[in-house]
Amino acid sequence: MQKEVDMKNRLKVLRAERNWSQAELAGRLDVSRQAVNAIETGKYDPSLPLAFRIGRLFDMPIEEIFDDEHHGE
Amino acid sequence: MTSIMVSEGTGWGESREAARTTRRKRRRMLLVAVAILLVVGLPFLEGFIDGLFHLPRVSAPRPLAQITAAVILILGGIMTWRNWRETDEMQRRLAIETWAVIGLANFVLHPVLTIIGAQMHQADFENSSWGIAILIGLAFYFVRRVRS
Repeated sequence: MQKEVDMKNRLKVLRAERNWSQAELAGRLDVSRQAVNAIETGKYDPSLPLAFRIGRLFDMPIEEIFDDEHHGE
Repeated sequence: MTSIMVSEGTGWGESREAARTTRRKRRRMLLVAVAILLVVGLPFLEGFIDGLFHLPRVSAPRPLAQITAAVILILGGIMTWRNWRETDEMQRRLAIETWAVIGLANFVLHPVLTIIGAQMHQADFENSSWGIAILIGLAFYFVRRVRS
């Protein structure tokens, strides 16, 4: 049986480090501000293409931005 | 496929988001204007033509009403397609989920309302299932929008 995995991410921290607003990040990723907010608060898990775009924007591998709670088990 | 440009100056994301919002507002205004024109303008035009030629008022569908219905359907299709292209993956998923909730609600409500209608001796009671299902779907949509 599959377990539901809760995703955590560092998007809010990375955005704050660059002094970007949610709207700024949304514009750079070509998504809505609501989508950025939902990803930051963990209410929405982005698709793989969007996760890659986020990784490319922050010049980081995806796993340094997104992490599941069972990582390393 | 979408490519990311990271070399542009600070704030380009903000202007892109602002442009996106402006496009959305313009599209909504156009939709409202066209809807008013179709709902108010065309029946008025039809009444005006009837009055001009002293034609009797008939309840049967007129060609103009049929053309209006076809135009509304075509415009609705075009707007849906354009909105689908403009929205992002989260909004698309919410739209799909909303349609699924409406379909599922109707799937459950229709037989239930048919049985209730038969018990209460009310003809066509089950026809209200679509209306209730749409209301449930809209409630689901707004709750999800507020939560995100």
